[in-house]
Amino acid sequence: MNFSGVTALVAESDTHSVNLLGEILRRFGLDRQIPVDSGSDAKAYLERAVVEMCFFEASLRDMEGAELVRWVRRSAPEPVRFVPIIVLTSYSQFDAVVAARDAGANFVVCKPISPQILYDRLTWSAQGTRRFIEADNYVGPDRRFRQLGPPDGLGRRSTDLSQEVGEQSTPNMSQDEIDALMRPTKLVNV
Amino acid sequence: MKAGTKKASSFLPPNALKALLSRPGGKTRDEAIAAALAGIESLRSVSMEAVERAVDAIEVAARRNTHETLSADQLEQVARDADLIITLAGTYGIANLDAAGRSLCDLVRSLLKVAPCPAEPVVVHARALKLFAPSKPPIGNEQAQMVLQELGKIRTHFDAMPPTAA
Repeated sequence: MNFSGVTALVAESDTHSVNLLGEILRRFGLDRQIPVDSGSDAKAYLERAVVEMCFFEASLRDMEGAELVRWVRRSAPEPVRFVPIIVLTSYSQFDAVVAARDAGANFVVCKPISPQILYDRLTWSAQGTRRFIEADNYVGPDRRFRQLGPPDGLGRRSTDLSQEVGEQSTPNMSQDEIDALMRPTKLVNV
Repeated sequence: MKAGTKKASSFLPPNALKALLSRPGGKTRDEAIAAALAGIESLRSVSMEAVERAVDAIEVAARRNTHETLSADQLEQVARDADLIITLAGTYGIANLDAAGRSLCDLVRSLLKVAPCPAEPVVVHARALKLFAPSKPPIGNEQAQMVLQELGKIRTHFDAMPPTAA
């Protein structure tokens, strides 16, 4: 992967997190980083410049990361409003995960940031296979993932081919039905 | 999105990242990750200093208010410092410090529900953080587990307290 031409906006209010994330990205080869420490600075930058990737802290000093994501998805100029957004949460901000997802973030990554996870999320964001949804109550990447079966070559049987799972044809079992299925029963010989 | 739009639409958005990343050159996944891990390691001493400062800040905030109470703002600042400790301790694999930091964050969450918020449990956590700080000589696993269990008891006590009516 060649990160050298990628520009990323990093909105983080904690200096040490900025340094760590910045160092990881730099070592990936992503040198063009725009660090800002508030949501309002992030908005101001995104209104006048184009970036290919955004990293937002879940709780910035002047607004929640989810609010900033929502602004990008609904109000930022194109093509910025389609950029992949990764929201970074710390331990005490765990509640922000759902809010960030519902606001239209591509991924939420919990700190401490692992280079492996970050690299994989970045490359996944770049695949470009995820559709974008625009609806009254949600604007952002499609949150539904398709079940494609075992990946090619990884199945143990010759019939384990990668294939799309079809639409659900019967209703899901109720909890009572599942309980009845799992309940131990005594077998009686007749 | 235009105001008043009723129908949901789905489309493949423009993705400049894909074109940029797939240009020739760059690093393989293994090379990039190895380089990033080396980069993290190069920040170890700076990060450990930051951990020490965060532990000191929690200790000062809590001790200043021993036998007194902490305001919600003070507790939120404690949580921010604890968050930093967790992030850095997790990054550099300081397990006991990480666990004590998490315990403090959980405690703050419980304390924010009660008013007035007592300072003593935060003081105890600050002492534990100090004990596990990177500048201190490492303590035995058995002792560390004992300390963490005691922190757990404090947390359980405040978890069980009913929220104060606003």
